[in-house]
Amino acid sequence: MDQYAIRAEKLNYRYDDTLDESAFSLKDISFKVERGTCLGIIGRTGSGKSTLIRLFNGLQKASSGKLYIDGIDLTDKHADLKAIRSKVGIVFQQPEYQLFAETVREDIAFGPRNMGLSEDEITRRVEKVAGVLGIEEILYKSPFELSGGEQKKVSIAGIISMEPDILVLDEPTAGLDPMSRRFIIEWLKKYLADDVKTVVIISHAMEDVVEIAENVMVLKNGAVDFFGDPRDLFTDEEIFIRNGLLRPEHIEIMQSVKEHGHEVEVFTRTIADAADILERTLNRQ
Amino acid sequence: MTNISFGQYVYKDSPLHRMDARVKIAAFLAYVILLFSLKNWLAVLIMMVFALMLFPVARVPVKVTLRNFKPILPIVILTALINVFLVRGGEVLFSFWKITVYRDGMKYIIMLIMRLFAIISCSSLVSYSTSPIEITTAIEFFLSPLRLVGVNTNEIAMMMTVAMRFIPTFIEEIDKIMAAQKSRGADIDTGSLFKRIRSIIPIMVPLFVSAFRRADELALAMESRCYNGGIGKTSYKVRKIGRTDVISIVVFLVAVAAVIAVNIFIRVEVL
Repeated sequence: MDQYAIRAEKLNYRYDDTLDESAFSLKDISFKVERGTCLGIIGRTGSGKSTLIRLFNGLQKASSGKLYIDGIDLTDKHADLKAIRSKVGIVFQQPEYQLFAETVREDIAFGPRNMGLSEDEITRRVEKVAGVLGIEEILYKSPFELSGGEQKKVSIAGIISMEPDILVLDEPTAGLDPMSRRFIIEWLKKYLADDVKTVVIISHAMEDVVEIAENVMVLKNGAVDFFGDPRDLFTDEEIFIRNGLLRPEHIEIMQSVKEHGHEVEVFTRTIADAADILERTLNRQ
Repeated sequence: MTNISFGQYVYKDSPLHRMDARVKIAAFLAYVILLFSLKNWLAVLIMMVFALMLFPVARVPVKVTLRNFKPILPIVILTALINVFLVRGGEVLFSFWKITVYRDGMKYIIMLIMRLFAIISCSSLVSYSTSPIEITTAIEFFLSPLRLVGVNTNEIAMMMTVAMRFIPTFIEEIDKIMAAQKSRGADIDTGSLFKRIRSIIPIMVPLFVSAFRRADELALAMESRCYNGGIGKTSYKVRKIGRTDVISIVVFLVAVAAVIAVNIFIRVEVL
């Protein structure tokens, strides 16, 4: 078995549009994601992030290049897409595009049912994910009368219940209130603690990415602008400027502290870590 | 999914784009009527060529027509086959087994294909060179006599504008919904008819929910900008028949006269 959960080699994708033949949306994308790790993908709107993840479960086919999911070649014409889609779970940005059933319970059961699981197994899975995501109390409500945060949790539950090896989340915290957002990030950290689960997260919220990602990819106009350790990325202001992105506030603060002549570590994953470093610096003086 | 050609307006600076939508639509209707009243194949051919000649003028690639022709091709082929085998008249061109192909059948089908191709070309031209807003304004103009009998033509035009405005939005939404449901293992393209109808539910429900939400939001946004059903509404742009329109009308009329003359006086019997 392949050591990598996702392995892309010179992936190209172009839109099939006769009127604009120069429309290349992904150019020579190569990267590897090790099993059990979290990859963060960042880049401005239109940089190709959402197109890229659509290749991960065969919703779209690459024009050229190779894409391996757990060693299975997705660019092969005979790839079993149904099997791939239960292996790679994608949670899209807007939960309202997937919620349709009469009750939350039925909606979460949709994926497992399509996988052909037994009713007992479906019930077991629905109850398990409802417990993990704290949505037991709304299981018999209509998904349309929920708040945005609850809908997001239900849409995640609908994917998690398929127990995918690779979980892909497109903007999981966008448009959520601070409490729901904190909940999602804390839950993701717990989810990642199980080290066979691989996670890919697209986010405009840099503080989410810096908190959980082991590797970060910056996409710029459909090409990889940076791939690697977030420590190298978040201490390099230049990459952020040329991509029209902003670093998390706590890193900006640490940067200013350093520029004021204090010897501090600029890169930290969380605000709490930054606060610790500041406290130690203050105590030293 | 994304290359459905509807609302395919592309802005270019061309005489056809500058033309008044009312003139274009009226000319298009006249063109279609003329096309079907002509009996002479040469006249029909000239009309087809005339439409194709307008593509460079409008700066629209001709292959657009081919793309729009493709969806109706199965119907064209079916009608062609039925007519070729069933229409009897004229001399026998060839026959094999139990099938005999007559000259009239062949003639009929060639005319039909040329006519359809000409119509598709012309309608592609109109839809490529006229923005949806211009089309609805033109339709509102054509409907204006109905105002005398108490029909609110403004509202009809507004409904059409809104409907057209949201077609690309909904195409995009269906695409996103299908992606989300396919990712959950939904099987949309295979299975029995009953299974396929059932598999539409997870796509239609989110689409309708979204449509109602959008309608609500749009109504609110329109009301907060004092929309009152279009009573006493004036236009931001008032279209007047300009120089381009006059020239176009003249060119069109000359072409029509030429085609009618060909239809009456010139007979070339190829078939």
